[in-house]
Amino acid sequence: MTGADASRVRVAVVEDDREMRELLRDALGRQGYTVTAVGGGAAASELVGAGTADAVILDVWLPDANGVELCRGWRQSGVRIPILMLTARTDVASRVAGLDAGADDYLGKPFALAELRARLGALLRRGGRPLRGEVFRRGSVAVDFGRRQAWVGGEEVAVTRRELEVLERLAEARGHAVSRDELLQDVWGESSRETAASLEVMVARLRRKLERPGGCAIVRTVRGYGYAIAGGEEG
Amino acid sequence: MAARITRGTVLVAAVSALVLAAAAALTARVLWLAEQRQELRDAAGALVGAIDREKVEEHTTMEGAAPEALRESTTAGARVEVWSGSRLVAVMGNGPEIGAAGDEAGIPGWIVHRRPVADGLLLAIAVPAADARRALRVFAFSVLFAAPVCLAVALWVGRVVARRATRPLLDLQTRIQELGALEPLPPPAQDDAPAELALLEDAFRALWSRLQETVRREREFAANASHELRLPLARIRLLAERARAASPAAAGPALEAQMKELDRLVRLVESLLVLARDTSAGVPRGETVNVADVARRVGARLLDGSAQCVFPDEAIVRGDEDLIEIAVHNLLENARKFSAGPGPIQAVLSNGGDLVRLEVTTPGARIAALERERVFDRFYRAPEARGQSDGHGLGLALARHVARLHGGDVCCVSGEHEDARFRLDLPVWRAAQDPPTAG
Repeated sequence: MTGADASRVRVAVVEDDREMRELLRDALGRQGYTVTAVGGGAAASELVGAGTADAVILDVWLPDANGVELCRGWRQSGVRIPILMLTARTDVASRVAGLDAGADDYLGKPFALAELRARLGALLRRGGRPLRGEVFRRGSVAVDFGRRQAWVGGEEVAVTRRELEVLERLAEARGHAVSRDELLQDVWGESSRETAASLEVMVARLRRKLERPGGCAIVRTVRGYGYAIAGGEEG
Repeated sequence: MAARITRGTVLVAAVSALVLAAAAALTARVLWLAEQRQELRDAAGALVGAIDREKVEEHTTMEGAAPEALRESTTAGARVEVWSGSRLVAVMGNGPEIGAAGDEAGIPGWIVHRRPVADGLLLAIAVPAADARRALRVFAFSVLFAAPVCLAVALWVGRVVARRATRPLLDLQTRIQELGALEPLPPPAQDDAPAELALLEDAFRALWSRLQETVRREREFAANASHELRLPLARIRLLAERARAASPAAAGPALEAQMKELDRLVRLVESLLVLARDTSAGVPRGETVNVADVARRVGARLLDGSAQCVFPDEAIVRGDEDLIEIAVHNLLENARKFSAGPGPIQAVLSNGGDLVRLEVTTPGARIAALERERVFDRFYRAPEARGQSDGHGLGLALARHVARLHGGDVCCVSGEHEDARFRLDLPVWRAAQDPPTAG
């Protein structure tokens, strides 16, 4: 993303600690984003409801609201912008609860600024993760990206975080091909020989786990380019 | 307790049975003797009557009638003598001479009765006491045969009494055993608990609620501490990054070192917060984790090419990937730190049955039997590690805690003279019970 693009992107920072808020405003401002920083849930809802933000960085622990509930409320009222949650609790239960509530990504405090920038950039590039909060279905396969669980014919199958992220990235493209580089950037954060090999492994595992003999294909290889969700053009 | 009550009941039953049997035997003996005497008296009376009748029929004296009368009315087994003063007038039956005068128990083994007849005559009659002894023997045998039956009955009664007495206790025990970490104690199954037990239960409830309160406060503290500690760390981190961004040249190695220290502090705080979590709570809603991928990733980061790593393609558990990575990291990191050769570090991940198992062997390192559990103590540092600046002595404690949070464990499985080997066990992935909601 170039600086010229970033200046038109309005990021809302919702953080109750004044100093953190200023630091985030400063750091993201330097990146060229237009930052509006608020300190409470009510002000944040106002900001998001008015449609004056393109992305939200949301602290879970707010004095007047719970970030997870706030996020769930926004999603239910049709807010589609990317939401990145910041939290002091990094255990898997709170992580999954956040994603289940419709957050697109989740970052534990303290974090490296570079990571925040990278994740925010990825979310803006993709327009959030539209599949969070709903169950993705293709044939007998059902995947809940928010809760990170997958089922084939009603039976749960073991699909890991990475594998789900690859699948989610492909499903978001709704049948359009996603290049290997894009996948590697979005899922691994870097494109190298090792990560490229990992991608092949992930796709092979996804096929083995989700595709049944005689059932429909899930992942389609686009020769020389990348992968796509099979049969997703109409979906 | 039940055994004690049973023993007590059986003892009481056995002693009272013995005492009763002895008393019964004595009573029976006395009664039997009295009966015999009575019979003897009756027999003597009959004989006196017979002599009287003989005298009238034969018109003779009492003395003349006695021998004939005795002959005609024989009494089986008895010896009868008729004395006139000290002269024996008539005798019948075998046995020792009874005599005209003497004690009733004068002849051993015989019961004696003397009775005056008219005209200065004396009738003496005796029967052997052997009959009485035989009767006593029969009685003794029947008591002997009855004893086991009595004992069995006593045992059964003891059991029943014991069970009744201890049932409320056992009920309390069952309820305590089935108690979850933070649940209140359910009420007793039946309301007939004795007062002493109700007191015990009240005392337990009071203790339990105090413990629960402590645990609740600890958790609250952990959650608050998590927030309170992470926030300043996040601030410091952002400030340092801003300083570096403002003038990269001026920042230099000092700032880099500071960031490194900061990361170390963050790791320590994370570790303490993980350790503060109660293992019984577990990992509530885990995600699917491929331990093989985690081990490969950590192995690539920590170990060089000489290490022998055997990882399958997949070894799947359900849990918290970040935590499992910490556990695997700590085991491999220890291997790297304490490896003294010869031979390579070995890390073998296996995936069979109900467990995903990682075994890490450190060449040249030895763990004494006494140290085998101590190495898992928090802040314990091996003598070799004390000189090093990094590390807090939390690595193994944390690995074990993470494993236990997941329902597994970490143990040291090597002998005293073998290369140190640590084993991480995690329960294998199982499908969740809840299918997708929307149809």
